[in-house]
Amino acid sequence: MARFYTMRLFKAAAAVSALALVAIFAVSCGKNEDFKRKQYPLPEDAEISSCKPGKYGGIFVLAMSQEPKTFNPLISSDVYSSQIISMMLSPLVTYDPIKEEVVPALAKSWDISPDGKTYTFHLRRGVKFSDGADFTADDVIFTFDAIFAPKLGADGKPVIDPATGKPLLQNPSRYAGQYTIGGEYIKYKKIDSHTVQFSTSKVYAPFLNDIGFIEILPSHALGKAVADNTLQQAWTTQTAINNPQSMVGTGPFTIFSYKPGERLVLAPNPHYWRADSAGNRLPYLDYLIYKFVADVNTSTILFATGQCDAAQIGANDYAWVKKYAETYSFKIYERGPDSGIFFIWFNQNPNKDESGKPYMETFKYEWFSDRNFRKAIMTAIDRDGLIKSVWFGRAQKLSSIISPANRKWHNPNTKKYEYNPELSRKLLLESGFKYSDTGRLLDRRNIPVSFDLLVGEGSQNSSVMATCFVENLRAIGIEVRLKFMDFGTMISKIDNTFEYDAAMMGFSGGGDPSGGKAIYRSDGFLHVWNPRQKSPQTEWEKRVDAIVDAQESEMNPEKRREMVYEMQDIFSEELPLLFLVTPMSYSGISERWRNVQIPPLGSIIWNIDELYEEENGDG
Amino acid sequence: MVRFIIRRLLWLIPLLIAISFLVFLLMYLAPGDFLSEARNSKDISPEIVRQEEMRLGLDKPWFIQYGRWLNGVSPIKTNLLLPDTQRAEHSLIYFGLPDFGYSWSYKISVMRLIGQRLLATLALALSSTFIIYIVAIPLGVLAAVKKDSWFDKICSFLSYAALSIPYFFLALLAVLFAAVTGIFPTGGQVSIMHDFMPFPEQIADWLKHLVLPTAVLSLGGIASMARVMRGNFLDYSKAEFVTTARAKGLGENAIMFKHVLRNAINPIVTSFGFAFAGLLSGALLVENVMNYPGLGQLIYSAIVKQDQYVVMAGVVIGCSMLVAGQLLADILLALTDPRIRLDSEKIPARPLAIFGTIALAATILLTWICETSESALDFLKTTSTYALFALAGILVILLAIGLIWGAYFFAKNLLGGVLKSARGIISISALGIFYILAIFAPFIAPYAPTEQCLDKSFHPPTGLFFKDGRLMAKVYANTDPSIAKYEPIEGEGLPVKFFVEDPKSDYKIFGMIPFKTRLFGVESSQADARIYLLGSDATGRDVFSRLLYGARISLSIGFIGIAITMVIGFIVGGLAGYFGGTFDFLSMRFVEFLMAIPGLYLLLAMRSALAPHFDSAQMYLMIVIILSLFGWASTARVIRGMSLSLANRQYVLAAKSMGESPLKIILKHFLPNVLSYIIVGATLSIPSYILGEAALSFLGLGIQEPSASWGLMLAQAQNDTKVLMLGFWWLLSPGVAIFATVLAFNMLGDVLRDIADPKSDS
Repeated sequence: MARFYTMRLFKAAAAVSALALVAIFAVSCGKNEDFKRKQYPLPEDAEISSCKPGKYGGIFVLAMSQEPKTFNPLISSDVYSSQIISMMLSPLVTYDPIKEEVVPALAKSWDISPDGKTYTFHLRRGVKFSDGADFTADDVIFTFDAIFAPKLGADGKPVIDPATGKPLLQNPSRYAGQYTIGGEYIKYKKIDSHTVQFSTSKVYAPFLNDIGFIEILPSHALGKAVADNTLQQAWTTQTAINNPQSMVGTGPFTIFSYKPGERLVLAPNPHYWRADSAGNRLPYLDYLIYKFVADVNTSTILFATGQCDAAQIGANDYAWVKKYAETYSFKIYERGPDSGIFFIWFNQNPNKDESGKPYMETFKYEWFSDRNFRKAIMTAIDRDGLIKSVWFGRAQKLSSIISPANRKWHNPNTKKYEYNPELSRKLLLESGFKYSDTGRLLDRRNIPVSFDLLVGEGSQNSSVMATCFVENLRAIGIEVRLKFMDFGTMISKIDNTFEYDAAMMGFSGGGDPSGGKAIYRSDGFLHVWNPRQKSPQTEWEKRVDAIVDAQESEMNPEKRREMVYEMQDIFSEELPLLFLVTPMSYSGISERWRNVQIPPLGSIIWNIDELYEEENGDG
Repeated sequence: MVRFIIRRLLWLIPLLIAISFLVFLLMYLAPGDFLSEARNSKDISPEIVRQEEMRLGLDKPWFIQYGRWLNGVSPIKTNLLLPDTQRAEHSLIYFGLPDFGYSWSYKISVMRLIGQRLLATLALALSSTFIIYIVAIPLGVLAAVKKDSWFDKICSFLSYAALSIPYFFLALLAVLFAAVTGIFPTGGQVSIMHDFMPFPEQIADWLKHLVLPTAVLSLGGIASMARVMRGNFLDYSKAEFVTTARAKGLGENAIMFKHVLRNAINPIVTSFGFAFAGLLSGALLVENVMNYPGLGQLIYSAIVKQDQYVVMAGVVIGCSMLVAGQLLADILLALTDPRIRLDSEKIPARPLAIFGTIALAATILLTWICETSESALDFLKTTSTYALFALAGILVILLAIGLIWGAYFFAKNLLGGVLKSARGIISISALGIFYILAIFAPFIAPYAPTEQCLDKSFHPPTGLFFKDGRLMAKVYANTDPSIAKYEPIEGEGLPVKFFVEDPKSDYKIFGMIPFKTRLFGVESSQADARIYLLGSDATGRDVFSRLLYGARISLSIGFIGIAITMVIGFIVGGLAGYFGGTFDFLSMRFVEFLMAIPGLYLLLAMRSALAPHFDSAQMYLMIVIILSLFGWASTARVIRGMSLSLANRQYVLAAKSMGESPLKIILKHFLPNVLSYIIVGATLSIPSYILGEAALSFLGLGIQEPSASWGLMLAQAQNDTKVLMLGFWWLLSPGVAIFATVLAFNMLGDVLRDIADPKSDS
């Protein structure tokens, strides 16, 4: 009996698993939809692109190493979400990386008042959202209203944040803080259905780059969410899964389908406001697909094996990716140094914690706040060796707080430090350090010099650089212990408990210097070596604060540049950050695409709406 | 039977509460939280971060946070735990659907998120189970029928080999294979163009993506199941009914396939539940390395991002699957084998209730103390630290005694037997060589493990040749620094010298005698002349030297781990078997609790909670301790079973009646009886520690740079794509080292089992 039972059971088990497999198939396979392009008349004020007219068709595939977290521009705080949102929604003005200037987008033109405090934008007429609804000045006003709306309590009055004394916002976003100029929110008003005016209480030089670049939300689609106070929960990844069509926009694409963990498919916006000179509405592509992959390595492999159309290629990977260029017909462009900065710094926080214990032992504070000590460490780092071994020569030494990639603002003449262990030892001896018989460095109290270095885990390059740093400092008699930790832990140490000696980190860069205020100013929260100072602790920090404030209201670009140059000179002289290296960056794109224009900076597919596929392509 | 199932399902409730609480606590203790990244972003002002904190409830004390989560998950809810604004909407007690909360990073409900990923993982686990059964059963039967033939021997060797390859190393090789050949996709569940394919093509596409992960995941299962199948088949082919059938003149085929096979297959089929549950947790590493969008990948990234509710729901679901799998196995077994009855022991209700009340009261009291009084908290901290130290001291002494006793017993009773078999000689001499290399690493290794040479990154292994009767090392020129291409310079060589003086060397033999001699090195006037037996890594460090230093970690971790496992397992199991009753009940429930935890997930959470307090050397110890804290459960269960039967033996009863103390009885009468089991079990479980350390270090959570560990060294090949793509194959040598060591231990364990338990034929 038992035996028959077994066989039956076995057969049943096999059948069940086979059935389950088929069932899972059926669920995981989506519907297969053919692409049909809808034709609508062009808007009255359509922008005619100067690109070569192309043909419709083709699927462009990109790999992304992280998924968008949201499609709501007020929530978005990561580049991945922002990249998709910028495909769905257009801003008032945008940046043309070839011309290197601000160019019209939803606003066809703008005027600046003579005192530099008032900006008037004239919107394009006839522009429609992807669902066919009209775009007007009301949408612009709606967007700014949503940003600044105060949070109302049960009594109908604004709720005050006990910590800051300011009213809380209904929809907290990064914009509200960014759009606070001279301590006040910017003012905005509708002049007529296609004109809006902004004014600031004081001159704000980067106004266009800052306020003009915000994506304009559709008031007809999100009005209800604002009224219900549910804007924070609108346009989530769940919306993209269930109802992507409800996320309407003015950008070149709309979301077609989203499968978390797999891919996001974008389709052309049938109402997009740009067209080519032959009168065909852009974009040419049938689909733009983002495929989600586990990490940057996988996305590079996908590009190198011809499975996606464009990719950023790290200096680290260039050597092997180029081997595949001919097989999978793609081209790699060298894009110059990376726009971020990478550095090591010492904790220079002189304060005490609540129990009265200093964050740093006094002797360590003495070492780290000694400029000579920092210079000695800087000259002990063999950055040339690093560049040779880790990047196979594809990197440069960094010598300023603004990366050389930011050509407009980078100061090429800041003080340079070359690898020189002899000089390093001399500097240390000058500062009162001495060497023991065994070659260990001792300070004037005979304490051996040694410290911990915090390193973020998970990055091969930073771990390699950290081990080189350890060896370099061992050579001048200093012991460095590496502490690898996840990003969260590291931040809580450098920003909260201040229990650390030194750390290694990077900041992304690029753009206007006003974006780096939190780093440069002594009261900034990213002024990592001694953040949130009540008043500048040192003379040079005081000077930097003054420069940062002054350049913001300087309208003369030449004078502004001079100020930013001086600030960089100070940072390179004082070395609160020991700059490491900046690797070269590379971009690759499949050769089947036409109208590709490589800008000196920024994304290689910045004009994705103009790209079209070569005629004998197989798309 | 129905009662049994209901009881097991009810048991799941306290189990899940306990596990979710543990995970919550670990996530809470880990420094930083989900908003850490936002706090340090240029674009997000501190005000927004504060508002987010309030919205996510991160500003509330931990027990409120956990209470809210539990309230959400439970179908019976109370409004007391709701935020003030929502309290009025519900009555004091109300009912609602379980709500696992909201993913902070994906900003959608956890249930939806997990639902999507669970399906993918289930597909992978099901297809692997399916493949395992389809391949392993015929293989096992064939090997048994052709016992001792070449086929059997090859199968046996291959199954050893398959069991000894670490999953993540295999997955790494599979990705490399996919990238180089292009036959299979390098990752994902479907291809990019999936939505644009006709239906049959979609199915083909889906299957194509399943092939490699399934192959990687099922290899180990096939090997072990085929071995079990072969053993069962051989057992039953000696059974009495076979003799009867033969006597009656039944054909050999009919006997084998109608009678033997059906009986032998029984336990295999019933282990379906176990196999399935095991695969679910094994999928974590495979999914991560192979970029398969399943539950494991989701939970791993959620742990890294501290997306708390995703981790908790993931662990709860993983744990439920594990328990469900075990339940399924039990039911299948009861259905197919009428001899087995699913009765569970009586619950000692009153002692249990008392114990539960005390535990609950103590927890509440502790929580209250922690939240109210600083000085009481300090007092608690100091006393518990001292208590922990005392406990650790006792444990260390026990461990030392255990290890020495074990080694003595091994040398006296087992070594002779081991040396009689070829496999035994091979495995024990291989292990001997490995241990000698590891112990004398500073002498044998030509360089310090951290010594860099930035001019020689990714240098290939140095070729050796003879010239004028002297051993010479080839000299290489870096002909293309842009791809790290080295070519030997024709005719040039550096003499290899033995017993060279190295003034830089600062090691001491056994930590005492300073020693400045290394076994070998090259003679040259240039400071950067090197001999790289196994090439160099990104900063020109010698892979061979690092491999030797890494061996010290891998080879010692197993011993410390099993010593802890076996000592605790023996004490708990022995006492439980001796006393029975309440102690037995409680300890066995605790053991079941430990065994139901999806180990790797909890390990990751634990590691991130404790990491900031430890440096690399301490981390090493911590990994061993964490690993063995999970490992002792299964040992305790087996020992309990053995001592239960021993407890009723005449001589034990006699000793009892003569008034010997329980401890003495356990040590004098139980231990000698179970020692061979312990040693066999220990040998067979050493590999899991080696693999565990390697996997953790591989994920970047174990030993850290600049120390050397095999897993850490392999991580380089995974994290730096150019290593594989430019063919720096020598950086894969740690994978081979892990494989060889694990293989040797598995072989030795098998030989030992044959000696200790001659009946089992495997």
